[in-house]
Amino acid sequence: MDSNQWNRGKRARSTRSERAGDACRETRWSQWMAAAQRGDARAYELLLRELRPSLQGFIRRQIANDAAVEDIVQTVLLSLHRARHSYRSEHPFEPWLWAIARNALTDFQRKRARRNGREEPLPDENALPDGFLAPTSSESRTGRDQVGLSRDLEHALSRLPASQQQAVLLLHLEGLSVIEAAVRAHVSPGALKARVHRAYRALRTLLEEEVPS
Amino acid sequence: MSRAATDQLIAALAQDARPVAPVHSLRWEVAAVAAVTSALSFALLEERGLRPPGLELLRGPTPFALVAFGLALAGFGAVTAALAFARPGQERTGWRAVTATVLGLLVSVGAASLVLLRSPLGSEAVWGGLLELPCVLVSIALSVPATLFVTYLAASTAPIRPRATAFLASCGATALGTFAAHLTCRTPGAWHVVTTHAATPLLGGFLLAVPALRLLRSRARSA
Repeated sequence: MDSNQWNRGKRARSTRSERAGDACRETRWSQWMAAAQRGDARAYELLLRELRPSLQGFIRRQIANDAAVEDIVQTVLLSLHRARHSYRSEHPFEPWLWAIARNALTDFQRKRARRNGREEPLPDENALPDGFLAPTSSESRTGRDQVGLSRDLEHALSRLPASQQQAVLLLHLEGLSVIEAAVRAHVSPGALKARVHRAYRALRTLLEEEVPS
Repeated sequence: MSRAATDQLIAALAQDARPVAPVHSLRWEVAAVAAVTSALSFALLEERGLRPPGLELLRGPTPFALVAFGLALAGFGAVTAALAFARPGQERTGWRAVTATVLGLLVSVGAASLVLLRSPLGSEAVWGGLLELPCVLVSIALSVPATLFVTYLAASTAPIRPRATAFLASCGATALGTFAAHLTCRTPGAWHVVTTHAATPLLGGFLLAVPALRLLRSRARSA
C-alpha cells in the first residue's frame, strides 16, 4: 500500500469516526435536553457544561475578544434556558442549538455596530446615586419599604423603565447576585449590569432634579 | 465576563430546571390557524353568500379560483413561515414557506393582471376607491383574529426573529382574511381584484406588523 492510499484510508476512517461521534453526541444532547424538559436538573447541568466548549469554539470563530466570547456564551445559555420548551425531541438538537447561538451572535454584532461611535463611559459599578443605600444582606429580603428608601428615591425609581426597576430591585433590594438576578430577569449577566448602570445614571439625574443643591 | 461567572450561571440555570411542556408541532399549529380562518370564512359565506354569478374558474372576467388559490397559498405560506421562524432550527421550513408566499402573491397578482392587460382599453372601470376601500377594510378586519392567534402561538414558542415573525404573521393573516373577502366580494372586474384583493395582504402586513410586533414582544417578555 503506497502512502497516498494509506492517507486516503486514514482520512476515510477519521471521517467515519467523526460522523459516528457527531451522531453519538447528537443523541446524547437530545436525550439530556428531553430529560431537562421533564425537570431533570442533573441532565440539564451535564448538557450545559458539555455545550459550553462547543459554543465557545463556534463564537470564537467570529469574535476574537475572550470577554465578549464568554458574554455571548452566557447569553446563548440563557436564551436556551428560556427557549427550552421550543425544542421537540423528534427534531435534531444541534440545528436548534446553533440557531439560538447564531441569533445571539448576530444580536451582539448588531448591538456592537450600533454602539460604535456613540459609546460613552458608564459610571463606576459601585457609584450608587446619593441617597441610595443598598441594604445589608440581613435586610435584603425584607422588601423595599422596610429597608427605608426615601420617598424621593421611591418616586425616582418608579419613573424608571420596568426593566431597569426590576434590575435595581433584584440586585439591591432582594440582594441577589448578578447571576441570580440575570436568571430571574431572563437576560445575560452583562445585560443586567448594563441595565443597572443605566438605572443608576437615570436615578442620579432624577434625584438631582428633585433635590436641588 | 469570567469563566467562573459562566460556571455559576450554568449551576443557577440547572437549579431553575423546572418541567416544561414542549410546544405543539408546527403542523398542529398551522392546522389550528386553518381551523380558525376556515370558521371565519364559512361564517362570512353564510352571511354574504358566494360571489355571484357563481364560480368563474380559470376563465371569465376575473380568474376567481386562481386568485383564491394564490391568496390561500400566500396566507398559509406566510403563517407557516411566521410560526417556523419562531422555532429555532426550523429556518429551512420558514424559507420554503416564504417561497410559497411569494409564489401565492405572484399567482394572485399575475392572474388578475393578465386578465386586466388582455381586456380592451377602457373596459375596466376605475372606481376611485369607493368600492376598493370597504373591501380592504373588511379584509383587514377579518385578518385581526388570525393575526392575534398566530402572534400568540409564535410568542408561546421562541421568536428569535420577532420582526420577520410579526410581518409574516400579519401578512399571512391578511391574505387569509382577503381570501374570505374574495369569496364573497360582489365588485366586478380585474382592476378591483388587482388593486384590492391581490395587494391587500402586503398592505395588511405592513399595517398590522407593528401592533403584532408589540404584542409578540410583550407576551414573550411575560412568558
